[in-house]
Amino acid sequence: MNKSDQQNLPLVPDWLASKLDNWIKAKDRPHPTSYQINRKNIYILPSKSGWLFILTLIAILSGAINYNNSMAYLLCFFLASLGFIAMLQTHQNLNRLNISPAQSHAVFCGQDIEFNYKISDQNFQHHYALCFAHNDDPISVEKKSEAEFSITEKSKKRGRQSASRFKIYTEFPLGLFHAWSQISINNEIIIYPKPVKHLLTENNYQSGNKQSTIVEGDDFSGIREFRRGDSPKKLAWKSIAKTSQLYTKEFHTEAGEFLIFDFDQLSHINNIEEKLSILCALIIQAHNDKKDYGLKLPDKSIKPGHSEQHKHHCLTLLALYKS
Amino acid sequence: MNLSSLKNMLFVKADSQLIILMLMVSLPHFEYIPWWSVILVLLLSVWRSLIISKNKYRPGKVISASLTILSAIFIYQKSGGFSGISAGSHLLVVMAFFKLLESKNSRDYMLLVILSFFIIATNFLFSQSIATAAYMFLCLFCTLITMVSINQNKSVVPLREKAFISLKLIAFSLPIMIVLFLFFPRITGPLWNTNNDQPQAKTGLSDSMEPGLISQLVYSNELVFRAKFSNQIPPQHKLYWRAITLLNFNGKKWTTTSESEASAVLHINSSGYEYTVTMEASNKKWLFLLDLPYQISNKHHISSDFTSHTDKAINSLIQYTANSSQNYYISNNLDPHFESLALTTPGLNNKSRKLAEKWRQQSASSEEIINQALAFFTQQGFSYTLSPARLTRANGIDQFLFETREGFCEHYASAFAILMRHAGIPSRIVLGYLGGELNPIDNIISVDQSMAHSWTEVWINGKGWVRIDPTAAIAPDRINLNVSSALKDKKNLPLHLKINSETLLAIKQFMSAIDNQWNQWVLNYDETHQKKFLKFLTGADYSLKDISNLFIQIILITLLLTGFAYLFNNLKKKKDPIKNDYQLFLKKLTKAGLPKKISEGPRDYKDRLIKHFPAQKQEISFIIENYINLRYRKEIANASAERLRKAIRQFRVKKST
Repeated sequence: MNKSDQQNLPLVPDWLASKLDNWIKAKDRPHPTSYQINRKNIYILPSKSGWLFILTLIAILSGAINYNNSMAYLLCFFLASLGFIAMLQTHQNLNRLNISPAQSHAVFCGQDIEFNYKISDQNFQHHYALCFAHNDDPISVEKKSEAEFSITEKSKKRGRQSASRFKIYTEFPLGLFHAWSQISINNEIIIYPKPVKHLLTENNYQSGNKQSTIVEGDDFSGIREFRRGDSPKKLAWKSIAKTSQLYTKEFHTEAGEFLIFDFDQLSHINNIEEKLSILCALIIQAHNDKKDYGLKLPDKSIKPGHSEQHKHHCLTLLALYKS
Repeated sequence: MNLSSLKNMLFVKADSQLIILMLMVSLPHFEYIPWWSVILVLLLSVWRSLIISKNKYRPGKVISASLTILSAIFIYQKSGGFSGISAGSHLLVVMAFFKLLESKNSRDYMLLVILSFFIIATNFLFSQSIATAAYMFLCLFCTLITMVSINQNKSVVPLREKAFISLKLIAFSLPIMIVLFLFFPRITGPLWNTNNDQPQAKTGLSDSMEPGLISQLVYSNELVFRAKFSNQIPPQHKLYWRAITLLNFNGKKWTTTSESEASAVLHINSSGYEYTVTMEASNKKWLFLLDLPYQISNKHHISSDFTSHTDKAINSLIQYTANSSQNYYISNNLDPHFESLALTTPGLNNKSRKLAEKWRQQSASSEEIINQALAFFTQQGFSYTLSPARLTRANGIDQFLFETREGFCEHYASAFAILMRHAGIPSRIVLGYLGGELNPIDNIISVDQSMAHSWTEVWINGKGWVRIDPTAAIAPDRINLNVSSALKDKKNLPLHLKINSETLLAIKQFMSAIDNQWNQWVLNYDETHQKKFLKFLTGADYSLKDISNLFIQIILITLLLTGFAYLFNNLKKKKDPIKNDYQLFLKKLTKAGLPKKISEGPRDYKDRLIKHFPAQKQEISFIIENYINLRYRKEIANASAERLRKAIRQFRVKKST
C-alpha cells in the first residue's frame, strides 16, 4: 500500500472524506497530556476488500436461493456473521489504547522531526498491526504493556513546533474493516536554526584569532596593541591613559582558550536568521572540536562551557530568539 | 530449503499460505474439471512457489495476460461456453490460479481470499455431505489464518496466536450464523433460469435398460435415498422401490413410452405402509415409491403407471411422503391400444415364441403360464452372475434362454417379459431398487446404488398389473437378503459389498444416522421447514411475507433503538453546558443559604456573594466573570468553558467565621 492510499479512506470520495475529517476535527479537541482512544473517537468503515466481501456475500446468497442450496445459505450466513464479528474485533484492536508524548529530540531547521510517543494497552489484550498514516512501520502493543512509535514531520521554521494531528488505523485481523482515530496531543519540539557556515567567521575560527569580531576569550590574560576591529569595550583604558597608545585586553581561560560567539559582532550581516544560522554552525563546530564556548545574544548570554546540555542550551536560545 | 525456513514460510508468510489454501479449496473440483486443467493448476502452483522461494521467474504483464486469455479461450472451446455450474466453476478455479501467479501485494492477496470463499461456495453445488461440509470448514479456518497473516502487516503474529484469533472469530460467528440460518426468510428459487446448469452426470438408473446397465451399478455404494416408515417396516422381500416403467423393446434395449394408459381404477384392500423418503440429488426427474403407491404428498402426483416424477431434474435434496400397499386390485380392463403395445415383440426370437406358445396351449390360466416360465428358469440351469457371457446376436433373448443361460436381473426381467408377450400376456419392465439397509440406530432404511434392480409386471384381468420378479426364482437370496449373498462368484464383488466386519458395519450405521440427521436438519431446511419451525416456536402460522416482515422489523427496530439512543445522548449533551454548570453553581449557593434573587444580575449577585464570603473572593469572581464572558461575549475560546466547569465543580462554600 502506498502512502496516499493509507491517508484516504477506502472507497470514500475525497469531498466526503474531507467533510468527515472536518467533523472529526470539530469533535475532538487537542488533549494536553495523553489521548485515550475509545469508542467515542474510533471511526470504522469497510475497507476496499470489505466492500468486495459484501458483494461476494450477496452473490453467494443469490446462488443459494437459486439452487436452493442449504450449505451455500449456511456459508453465506457464516461469512456474514464473520464479517460482523471481524468488525467488532477490528474496533477492539484500536479500542482503549492510551497515547502519550515521549521525549523527542530537537532538530535543525530543514531536518525531519520525529515526534516520539508512547502507546499503552489498557484493555488487557494484544493489539496487532497498528499503522500510522505518516509512518511505514506498523507496531504491536502487547497485553498491559507499552510500545513506542514516532511520527515524522517536516520542520517548518526555527522555534517551537507542535505536532500536528495524525491518524492511527488498523485493519487487523481480517482486513475487511478500516478502523481509525485522529490523534491530537500537545507535543512540542525545539527547532534549532539551520546551521550555515560563513566564510569570514570560518577564517577567524580556523586561525584561532581570539581578537576576531566574534571569537573571544573571557578571562583576562594580558594586553596588547590595538588592532583595527577590536571591540572598544575591551580597550585597556588604564594602559591607554599611561602611554596614550591604544591597547586591547586579551582574555584566555585557565585551561586554554574559550570562545564567545557574539550576535552583535556579526554586524556586517543584516539578516537575523542568517546571523543565528552562522552562530549555530559555530556552536556545533566548537562542540565537535571539544572547545569551551559561550554565547552572547542582545537579550541573553550564556557563560562558556562544554557539554551536550550546554550545546542544547545554546542552540535553544538561538532557536527561540525573538520568535 | 531447510526445515526452519519451510516452517517460516508456511506459518508466517501469507503468500505461501495462499498457495496451499487455493489448492485446498479447489481440491474437490479436481474430481469434476478435466485432467488438463488439473495439471495446469498444479503447474501454476509450482511456478508460484518458485517465484516465492527464489524471488525470480515472475511473469511479465504480457505473458500472464496472454496465458490467462489463452486458457480462458481453451476452456470456452472445450466446455462449449461458460454458462452452467461446471463450466463456470471450472473457469473460476483456473482463473483464480492465474491471479495467484501474478499477485503481488496484500490487496491481491485479499482478492484471492475472497475468490476462495467463492470457490468454497461452488463446491457446495456439487456436494453437500457432512464430509464436504467438514472439509470446507477446515478450509474456512485456514482462510482465516491466511487473512490474519495478510493483515499482520510486517508485525509477525505467531501461528498459535493466529489460530487462536481465527477460532475466536469462528466461535463468536457460529451462534449468529445459526440464528440467521433459522430466521432469515427463505425464498424458494430459482431467481434465474438454471436449465443450462446440469451438473455432472451421476451414476444411477437411466430411462432405458439393456444388458449390463444395472449390473454396473452394483459397483457403486452411493446413497440414493433414505426412507422412514411411520409405523411398521416391511420385510426385505417387499421393499420393491419403483421408479420407471419400460414398455418398448427393440430386441436389445427397453425404453419408456410416450403414450400413457388410462388411469387405473385401483382398489386397496387394507391400509399399507406410510413412509417419508429423503432423496439425494439424482439429476433425474423420477421419484422412488414403494410398490404399489396409491397416495403421495402434495406437489407430486402418481401417474397411471404408478410412478411419479417432478417437472425439473432433482438437483438438491428433496423429501416426500407416500402410502403404498401390496394388497390391491385393478378393476378396469387394459385399453386395447395400450394392450397391443404391451404385447409387441421384436419378432426375432423364434425359439422363445414357440416355447411360450406351447405353454399357452398347455395352460388354462395366465397364472399357470407364469408358473411354467418361472419353473423353466429354476430347472434349466440358469445362473445369477455379475459377469455373464455377452449376448451378441440379434435374437438375444433366444441366445440367453437356450445358450448362455447366465445373467443378472436385467437379463431375466427382459427374457421373462418377452416370454409373457409371446404367450399373450401384456407385460412391462419396472426399473427401481430392491431392498434397503435398516439402520438399527434410527430405524431408517437406506438404499444405495448397488440395490438397483429390474423386474416384470404382467397384466392379469381382474387383478391388474401384478409384479413378477424372475430373479426371485433363480436367486432367492437377492430378494430376501442382498446382492452379495445372492452372487456365487464373490471374487468380482466390489470392496464395499465384500466387507463383513461387525465393527465396520456399526461405524457405517452410525455415520449413516448422523448423515440422516444432517439431511433432515440442515440440508432440508427450506421455506416449509422454516414455517414448521416457527409454528413450533410460537404456535402460529406464518407466511413467507410474515417471516420477511418479522426479519425486517427486527433489523429496523434495532437500528431505530440505536439511533434514538445516539440522539438522546447527543441532546442531553447539547443542552447548553455553560448554563448547566452555572445552575450547579447556583444550587451550591442556594444550599449555603444565599440564593440568587430573581431581579439580581450576575454582577450584583457577585458583589453580594463577595460581601458574604470575603475569603473566597477570587474563586467567586473567577466563576462569575468567566460565566459572563462565555454567555455574552461569543469570541471567548472553548478552553475557558472547561476551566469554568472545573472551577464550579471544585467550588465549595466555606462557612465564614
